[in-house]
Amino acid sequence: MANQRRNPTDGTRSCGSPEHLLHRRLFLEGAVAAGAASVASFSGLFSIPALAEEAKRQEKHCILLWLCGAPSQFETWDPKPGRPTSGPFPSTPSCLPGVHVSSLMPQCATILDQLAVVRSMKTEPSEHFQAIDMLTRGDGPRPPFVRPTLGSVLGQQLAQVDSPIPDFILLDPCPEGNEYKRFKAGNWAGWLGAEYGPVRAGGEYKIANIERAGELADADHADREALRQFLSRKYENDRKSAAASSLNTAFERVRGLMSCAPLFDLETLPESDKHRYGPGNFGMHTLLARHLVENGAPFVMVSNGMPWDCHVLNHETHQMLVPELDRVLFHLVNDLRERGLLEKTLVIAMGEFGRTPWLNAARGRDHYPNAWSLAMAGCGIQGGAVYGATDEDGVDVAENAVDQRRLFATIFTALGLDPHVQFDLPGLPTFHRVEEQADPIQEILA
Amino acid sequence: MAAVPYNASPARWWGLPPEKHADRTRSHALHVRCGPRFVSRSMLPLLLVGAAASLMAPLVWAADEAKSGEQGWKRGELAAPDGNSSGEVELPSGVSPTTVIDLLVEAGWQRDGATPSDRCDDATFVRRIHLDLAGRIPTVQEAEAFLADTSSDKRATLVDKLLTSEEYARHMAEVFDVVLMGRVAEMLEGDRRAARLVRDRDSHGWPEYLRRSFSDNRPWDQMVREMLLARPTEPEQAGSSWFLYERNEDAQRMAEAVSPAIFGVRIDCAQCHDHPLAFEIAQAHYWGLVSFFRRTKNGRSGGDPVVEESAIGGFEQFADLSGQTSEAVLTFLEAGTVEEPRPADGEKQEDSADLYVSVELSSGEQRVPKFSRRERLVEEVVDGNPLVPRAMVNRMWALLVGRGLVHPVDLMDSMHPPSHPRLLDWLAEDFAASGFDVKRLVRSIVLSRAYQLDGRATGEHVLSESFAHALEKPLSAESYCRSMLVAIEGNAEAEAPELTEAFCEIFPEVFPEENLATLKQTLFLSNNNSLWERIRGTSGGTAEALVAIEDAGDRVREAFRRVYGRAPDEEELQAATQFLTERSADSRAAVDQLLWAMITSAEFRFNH
Repeated sequence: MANQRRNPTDGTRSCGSPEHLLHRRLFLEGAVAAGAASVASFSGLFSIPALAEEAKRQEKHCILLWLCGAPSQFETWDPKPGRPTSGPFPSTPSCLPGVHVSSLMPQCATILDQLAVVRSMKTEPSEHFQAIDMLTRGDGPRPPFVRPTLGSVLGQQLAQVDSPIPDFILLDPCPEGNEYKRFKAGNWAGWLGAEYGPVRAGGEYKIANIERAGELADADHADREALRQFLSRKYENDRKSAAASSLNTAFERVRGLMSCAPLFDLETLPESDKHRYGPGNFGMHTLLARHLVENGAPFVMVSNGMPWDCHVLNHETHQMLVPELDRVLFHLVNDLRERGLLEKTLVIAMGEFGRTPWLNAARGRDHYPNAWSLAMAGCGIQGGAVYGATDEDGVDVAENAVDQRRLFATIFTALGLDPHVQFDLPGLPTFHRVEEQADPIQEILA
Repeated sequence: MAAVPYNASPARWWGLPPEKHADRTRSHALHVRCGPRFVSRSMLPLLLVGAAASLMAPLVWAADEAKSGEQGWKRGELAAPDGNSSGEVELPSGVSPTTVIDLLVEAGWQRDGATPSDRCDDATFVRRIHLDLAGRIPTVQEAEAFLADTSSDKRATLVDKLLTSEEYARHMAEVFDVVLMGRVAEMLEGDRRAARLVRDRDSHGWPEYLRRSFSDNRPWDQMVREMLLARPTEPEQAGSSWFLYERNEDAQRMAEAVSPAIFGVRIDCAQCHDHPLAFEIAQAHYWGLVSFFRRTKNGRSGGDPVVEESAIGGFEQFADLSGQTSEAVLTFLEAGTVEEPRPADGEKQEDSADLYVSVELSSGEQRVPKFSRRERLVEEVVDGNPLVPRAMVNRMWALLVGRGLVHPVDLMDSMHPPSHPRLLDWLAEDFAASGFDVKRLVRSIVLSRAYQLDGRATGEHVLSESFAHALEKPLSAESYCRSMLVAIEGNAEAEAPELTEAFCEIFPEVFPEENLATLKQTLFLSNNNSLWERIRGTSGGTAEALVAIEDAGDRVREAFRRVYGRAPDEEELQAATQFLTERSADSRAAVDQLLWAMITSAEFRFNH
């Protein structure tokens, strides 16, 4: 029994004996029948077979550095030297003639020819929860339907058929984060269904209970789970229970994740890499994201609580956080390029809005969705593109405003996915991958 | 009492004129601000080091707009028909709370066009009510005795029996420990101090206080007073002081805990500005509630922790981020402002013995200030405040029915109107009129038709807030662990403290906003060594009883009887029998795996 072959994607196995095949079929049929009749699943909604297959064939990936709390555009991509709205940090020339970034980003300044910077983000929600919700899903709420987050959509679209690696990994070393904490406890996958939610890892880098309990053979572990799934799906089916569906899909992912547990072990990575990305959780987890993508993960999101929310002492806080971002993003882009992965991997570094041009009484910058910046690199992106601009004080967008829909249209297009696919299902309103036919930003697409 | 249409906007619900609503929305879109609480705690020391002290000194955050007391925040104005728009449901006078629940929930079905499910069968009821009132599944003996009982009022009889059991008190104490104190595992995230904190709570009588209070059916308002005042005069109240003592003189932690647990409102976000969406929650209320706790000091009396209060100090200003400062005054939500003597500008208050009186507490003599802020909080904000019974009624409804009349339970603000406003009003008033009788409230809810419905919905799109079928409730960590022990050991006496703690870390939530399972949970159930060892290491329990049965099919039937309280259907019987038959070489191992599969599947995981 020790040498049976196991298909890592479904956690089942075959030892070749006829009895066993029969036995397996019984369970599988039970599970499939129960699953098919279960609560309305919308998982077909965002799947256009031809395009998705093409993306899969090309093995595309996406890493989202989620700068939660919202960094200041003035201290990163859109400095305003000499203006009253500028902070104390000068700007520094980049490798692109005439383009400056904050002096807190000296390393990224040298690779700006590989990044695309959008300086004209203009969105609406000005509170964290609503903004996080919109900028991770690409659109505002439309109750009772919950739009899946970017990670859920891309995880589904870019999934590799035979890979045991979770499609959507959230590296989340800091479980805290005020509104972000509340968001994290919510529904990431929306109408795609719980199986497209993230696998969360982080902190101690090891995932708890990932090893099989002693005294239980792998075969028994698998068969026991098949029996469990059979019983539990029957219940789910009988009750049309969304809660049971969530439980069952979370169980289905256990064995696949167990088989790739070593990939989450930061200890196995070279010290020199850790030295370059570190110190700090954000750097370590970005390194882990690179490692997971190298091993086939379609989508990895890295966040670290909500540290960017600088209502107090904006400059001091940015003096700590921006150099870390600079270092980490620089190494990530370089490493992906050296490994030949950059052209297949879209890297996005963004928060949920920007920060005010003026300081408050606590020398902080407050929330500012009116004019802010973000950066992208890699798959489908034109390196060296700087799109949009703010006025001389950074108070408003001066040209080419980009809202969340255009941003998402750009992301999907960069990854080879049609942004305007329409979904018509009986009894449901019409949805599109991106609503309102929003145009991608052609100027930053390769 | 003006009737308000059910679909009125939140602003209308709270008596706020629509134009005011629009103004506030607009002004907030322009003034984008939020506050220093978003700086993570771990960063604060760094920030403080980096900041000149003069910058931080007036660290005061504040309201720039009028207090919400002006917004006509009166409970009675909220009353609205729970029926359809054609008119109010007639409530005959002198009817029982259960009858009122039935009438108003039924009116809600009409309003929502929902067809209710049938009454649940006895096997479902006996499991459901044990989980809700005793915090575990029934033993086989308990379940079968109930099924065999032929009396017509046996459900009410069982409810009354469970309400007087010590298990009821234990279960409620566990639930309210989470409500009032929070999960240690969540607060400290695997910190070594977590175990110590659990021991501290225990050794200082906190869980015992809760157990005893729910056992004696101590009125809820009295418990609230005891926890906020922290001046126990009887030994059995002694543990109540721990509620404040554990917060270690941190007035903001106290306020942030009190507001959702006692008033059903989360105010954390009003620390830095008026609530951006729920207009009635002003920044002044946050700092007002904090001020009530500002003079609170931890002390010791004969080695025991006591919570003291000083008579002076605790005056502060708070400022909004535009720099406008205001004095924090003793106020909270619609309760008005409690006047207190304030020192003039530049005047230094002197502490003196004249400002105190001595009282006899269970811990001995203690001096308390003649003007006590916490006393004023209890007398002028808590006593008679309609939010207190409302929050408790809503919480108990959520606990027993699976979803609050306002959902989620700690967001009872103008953004979250109740699904059944009139029912919530009625129950809250009745609860207060009954002397905050918790058992009476629980009894009224569990004997209602809504509670006793079958769990299967009658149609595809039945809203959970119609309460037209029983909602699934995930078992709390303690209930899940204890029920598992009942299933594998065959009795209700078994305990497993360490395993229970592990469950608490993995399944921390008691009032989840959404019912979503996590991979962390399924990994735990699949691979946790202690859990698996408990199943395979139990002797004299269910597994041994099953192994002693000759026929594999009979084993399966007995397993279903003991774990699910029902017979397997044909498919289940066939699948499980085959599973056991293939493993007949080691029948104990096979039975352990069957038990694992049953305990970890959805039927066991939920109260349905």
